[in-house]
Amino acid sequence: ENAVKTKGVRRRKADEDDLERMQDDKIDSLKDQMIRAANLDVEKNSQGQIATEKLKLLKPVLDILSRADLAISILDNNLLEAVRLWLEPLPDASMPAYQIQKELIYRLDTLPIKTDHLVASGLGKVLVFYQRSKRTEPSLKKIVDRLIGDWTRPILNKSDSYKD
Amino acid sequence: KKGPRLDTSKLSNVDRESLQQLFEVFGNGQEYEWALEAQEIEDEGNGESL
Repeated sequence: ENAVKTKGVRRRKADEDDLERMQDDKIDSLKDQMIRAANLDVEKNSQGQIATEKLKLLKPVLDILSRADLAISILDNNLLEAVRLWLEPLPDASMPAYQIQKELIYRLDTLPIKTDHLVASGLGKVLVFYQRSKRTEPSLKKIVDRLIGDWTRPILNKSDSYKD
Repeated sequence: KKGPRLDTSKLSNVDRESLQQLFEVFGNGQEYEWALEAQEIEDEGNGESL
């Protein structure tokens, strides 16, 4: 009976490692696709053409971002860096499609994002741009303001705990 | 619009660290300045002489 138990635990651990690796591969692959789409849109925009590569990829991106079971893998593989690229203004200073802005920013709210993730991805900087831009929809600006507040608090609270 | 000016010599070491981290996360406001300026010029109307 003990032998069966041991075999069971070992097998479960191997399955977990495989699953984690598969999830990492999936996220990594999506990240590559997202970066490629963002670069293509930048190129098209620079040439005065309409940029639609990101829009074509949006559904698979949102499907992944919506999965709670992939949240850790998403953050660990710095998928947020690709999200930041998608949110950036294009070369002609235009904003990405409103649907992209809205869907991505809403999903940021659902991820357990920490300071390290923000530093690695540059996401905080692009949200400050949304906060300052007059072209941001008021309803989105509210969420942006709240996210920036949420991300600021842990940094300031750390210093509070040292104050006497 | 430039950001607020801070006298960092009066900050404790911990406050200085927090400030540093804020800059790392949120930048110094220059990153997308080019886009904000371009948007402003465009929104004020094309063809307006500055």
